[in-house]
Amino acid sequence: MTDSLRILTNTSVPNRVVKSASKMSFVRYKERVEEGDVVIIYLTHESMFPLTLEGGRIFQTRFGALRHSDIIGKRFGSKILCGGGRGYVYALHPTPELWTLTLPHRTQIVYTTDISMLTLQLDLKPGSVVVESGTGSGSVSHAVIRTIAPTGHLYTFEFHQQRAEKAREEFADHGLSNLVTVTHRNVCTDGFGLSDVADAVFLDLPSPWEAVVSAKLALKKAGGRLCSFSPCVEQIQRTCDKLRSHGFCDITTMECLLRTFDVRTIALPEPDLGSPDTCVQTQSEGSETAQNFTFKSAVPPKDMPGHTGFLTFATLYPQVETS
Amino acid sequence: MVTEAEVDTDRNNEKIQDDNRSQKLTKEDLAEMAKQGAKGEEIIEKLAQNNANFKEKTSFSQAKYLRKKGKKYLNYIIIHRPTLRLLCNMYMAKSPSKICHLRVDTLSQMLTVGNVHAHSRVVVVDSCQGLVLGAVMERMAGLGTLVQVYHGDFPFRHAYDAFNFPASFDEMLLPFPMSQLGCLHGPQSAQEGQGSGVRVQEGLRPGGQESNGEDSTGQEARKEPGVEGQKADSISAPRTDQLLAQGGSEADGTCTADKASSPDTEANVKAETLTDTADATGSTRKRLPWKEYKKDPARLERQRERKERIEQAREVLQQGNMDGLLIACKFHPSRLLEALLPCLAPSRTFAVYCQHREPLVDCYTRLRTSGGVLNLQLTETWLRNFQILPGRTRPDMQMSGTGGYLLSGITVATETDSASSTTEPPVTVATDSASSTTEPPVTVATDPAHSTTEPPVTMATEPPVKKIKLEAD
Repeated sequence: MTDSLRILTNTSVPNRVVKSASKMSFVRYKERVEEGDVVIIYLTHESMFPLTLEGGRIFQTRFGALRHSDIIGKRFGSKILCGGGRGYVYALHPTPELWTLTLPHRTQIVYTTDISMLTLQLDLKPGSVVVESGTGSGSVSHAVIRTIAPTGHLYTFEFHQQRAEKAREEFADHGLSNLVTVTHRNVCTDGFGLSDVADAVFLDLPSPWEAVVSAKLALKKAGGRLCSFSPCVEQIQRTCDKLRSHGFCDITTMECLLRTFDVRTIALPEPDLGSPDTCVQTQSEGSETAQNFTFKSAVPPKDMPGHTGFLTFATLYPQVETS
Repeated sequence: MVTEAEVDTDRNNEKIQDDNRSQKLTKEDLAEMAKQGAKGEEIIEKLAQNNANFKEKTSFSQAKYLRKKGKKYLNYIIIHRPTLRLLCNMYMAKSPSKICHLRVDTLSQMLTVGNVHAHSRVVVVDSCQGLVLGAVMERMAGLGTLVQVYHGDFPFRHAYDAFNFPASFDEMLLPFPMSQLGCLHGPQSAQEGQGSGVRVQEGLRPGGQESNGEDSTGQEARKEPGVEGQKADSISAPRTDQLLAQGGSEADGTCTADKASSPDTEANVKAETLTDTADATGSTRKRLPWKEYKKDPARLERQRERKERIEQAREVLQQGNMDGLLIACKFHPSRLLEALLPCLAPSRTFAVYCQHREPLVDCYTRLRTSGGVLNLQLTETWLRNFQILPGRTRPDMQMSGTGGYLLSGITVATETDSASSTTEPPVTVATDSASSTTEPPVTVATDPAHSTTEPPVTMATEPPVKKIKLEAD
């Protein structure tokens, strides 16, 4: 089974020079970087780039030129000198989370905080069959595939033809072809064309309510979970109405935001309240040595994303007769 | 169902008096109806009919009234398959301190940030009843290697057991005692490991008591009076075996033998009749007195197997090639990180959960000083639920105040790969710059293990597997 699938993966990228059978994959760690692998080049926390390695090529960073050949053969996570030793970067193993941070945006994307929540709330695990629309830039897809591998499958639908093709290429480059089927289709008008296959459905559409009926059909008769991600109240309002009228239960809507903290050393100056000589009231300590009160603090950022979208979840229970 | 078109504004509560006389039915009437076998729907209908103010209410208010009565009189039971989502929510609702207040969104972050997936090698330190361990196992589906660093005498897997994993999953689950982490990378670790497991634990008796307390709330909910008086060996050995046996980690034959003999052990240790021995398989065997039991070949065999698995775990950890590290425990995580981060390969992620922010600030500071990690992030997630109803969409009135804090990062190789030039670059450009500010050197508080507050007290016993959820619809 896996062997035949691996052959499929390789044949789907005929142009790629695959020197070794252990091609880089987003669903399996490997130790050393090989030609053709995707690595995440880490310059700083704010500055990371995905890079597909081809011998002979050079990647310009703000720290100087980075030769692909300097990375090939190294261990993932190694420090790589660039600009003739003037600076260095790190070559990281790609993960869905790093990919989400660095992927080429073709659409608005869903970020890791929401992805984490929907992965858990949809009860995803290895073996789950998931239906997704739209594919967009593949941010959710990569994370979902990681979780449902090696035995699950993702059916992802994108109504924009170019984007669908690009996503298909990306999945192949990332060693994921055997775990995902990309279909170019407008599911709101044409449906998923699937029935009784999915454990979970994820909708990230402008009008998700139009896909509810078809989603219900795609879910397994034994029941399943559905998630819809929408930024606006009006969208979830209509989606929830539709879900209720089509027999979905346990409908919950939530919002999950990530707050990051900056760890800083903060020094607050002690106020000078005058010396004991000039005051009748005695100042017990440290008035002449003006001191700072120094402490470590986790400081929240001044601005943070205040809204990404509402996540609506619902359960479709197996249809049983009530006695 | 109220739709937007039906939203009425002509009615309000102007005429409704709060005099507690609106309901004509008395408690006795209701009890009588229930006795007659009236259905929930009928009772609610009668309640609405006999409520003088019901008709005065707005349609929203009427719907709310019916919903509230429904919660009381319409009890449906839905039997769910245990999932991480349900277990986490259940623990959070019933006894959050048992899972260190690890909220579902925070746990979900841990699992993704930690890049947990099948065919990887993950270390978990978990004092959330094994919930995190179970979560990781669910995402690994028994494929790969999962090392559980446990505190006390035995790996504690109360929540883990509730997942109902197939027994085959346990084959990849290796226990490793926290008390041996200190000598994991030490020079004498090899011979230290040989058979000294129990002795090391004996040294940690005061700490070990905690776990005994925890266990008494465990799967079998057995009380352990007089535990302190017993030899460490007598408690730790059979219990560990029993736990392992429950997980089905041994070969089938041994497994059955374990299940058969562990209640006997219990009985000997406690000299007390157990009511739940009946459900253990084949417990009709004569109970051995402790002196004989100690030499019981089956017991010695189990001990040997347990030690073997610990040795396996040690080997795996010492290879320094693990793929992920998740810590969610009641201890100060700093020393655990120090001991376990070297077990990770470069370019692997780790996530540390703590209910409090300060210990993670400490970890952050230390890691920034020691290096070898980048993309350090101290985060918190904020979770708010919404009521989505026609014309009445709003956030829920109550929300969780905190779901704890998370520190995550990525390991990197500390030295440049031998293939390249060994000279350090003059400009350090790509240091971990999780915070953009330059920081003065920091004096880090020493002795972190004692700086934390007391570990949360474990709550009263609860039935372990909660597969039944009460739902009012």
